Amino acid sequence: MKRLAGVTALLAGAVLTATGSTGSLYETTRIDSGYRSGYRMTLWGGEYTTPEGATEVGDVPILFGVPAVVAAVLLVVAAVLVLATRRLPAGVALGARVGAVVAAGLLVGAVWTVGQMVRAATEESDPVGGTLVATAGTGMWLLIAAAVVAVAGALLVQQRPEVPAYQPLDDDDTDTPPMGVRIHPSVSTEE
Amino acid sequence: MERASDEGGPRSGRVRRTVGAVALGAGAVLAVVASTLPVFVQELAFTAQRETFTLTLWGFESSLDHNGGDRAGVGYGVPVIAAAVLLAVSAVLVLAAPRLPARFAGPTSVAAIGSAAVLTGSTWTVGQLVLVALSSGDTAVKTGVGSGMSTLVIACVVALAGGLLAQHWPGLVSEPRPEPGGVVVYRLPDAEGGADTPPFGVPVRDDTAEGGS
Repeated sequence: MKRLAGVTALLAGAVLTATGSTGSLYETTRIDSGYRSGYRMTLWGGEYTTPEGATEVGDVPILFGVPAVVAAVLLVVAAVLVLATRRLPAGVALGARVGAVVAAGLLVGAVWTVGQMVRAATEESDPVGGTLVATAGTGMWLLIAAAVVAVAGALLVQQRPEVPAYQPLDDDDTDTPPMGVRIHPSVSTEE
Repeated sequence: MERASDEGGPRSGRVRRTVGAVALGAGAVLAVVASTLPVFVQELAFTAQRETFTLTLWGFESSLDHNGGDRAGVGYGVPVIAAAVLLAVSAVLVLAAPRLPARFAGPTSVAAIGSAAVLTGSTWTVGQLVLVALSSGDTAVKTGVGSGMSTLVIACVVALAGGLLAQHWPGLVSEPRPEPGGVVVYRLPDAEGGADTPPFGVPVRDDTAEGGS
């Protein structure tokens, strides 16, 4: 049940990331001497809205979205593997759980870093003059939600007994070998 | 990967754990060092006066200090430092694992690989900025990748390796528990319930010559 909730959260994190990646991270509107210009940034670059109302895309877009989308793909892969965990060898099953943590961590790192950029952009004082209104967009909030949900999912799919409380069977240093141990001749039951 | 060659005696568990902890610690140190180094350096030659722009994890710096830098710098370093602190904490936890209760084992390995992943996500996102700076086609702009970026990449690789080593991969020799005096009985988890041999074995009739004592 916990595993199923975790898988759902991982998938939800991926969907939220995909949705957020198309939304605007922040939007700024500048009103200067009656003219209104705007700038909108997504995970795939920014676009200007000129006072005439036309939109221009920046020449070289900053593709902040690449790590976030890779994290989303990893979230889906990890979710599918965790779902099939019973049919997988123990190593692969653990790999899936570790992969879920890696994907969630990757997403947190990417979203946090983009968030730092958005924070600076929305706090920035206007050096030119006029009125500058900057607000974080829906894309940013969706990405933050995605990161939180993905982390919750990654934690939910973890299994408690990670360290065996017993020695593994293949540890032939301390376990009794299949044919028993040689004991002292005085207590031997052999004829 | 690291785990294939890691089978063997009981000491290999300790070696693996130590190497993992050292790698996690090294990743943390490298990330902190990288945060003080330039991510990329751009030389602008638009006018006769050359200008050098340096991006660090705390904002832009210009060689011509025009406005006293009133523009708020983007604190890309915050998640990097946070990941470094988490890496350092998990390095200590991994190293101290045998002295900690077993319930710490799961959170420790999650923290180890998780913090390495946060560092990687942050580094990658900053790296996207470097890619944009490098792809600038302007001949008046000369861009070089800074030592901070390469240090961050190395920090990520080292931290991820440490995070993977800190996992309890099945088939690897686990840490030998401290031996208590007397008989040691290892009880295996029983999925079917009751089908296994009980811990102290089943009583059998002793048919040997001097049996029946």
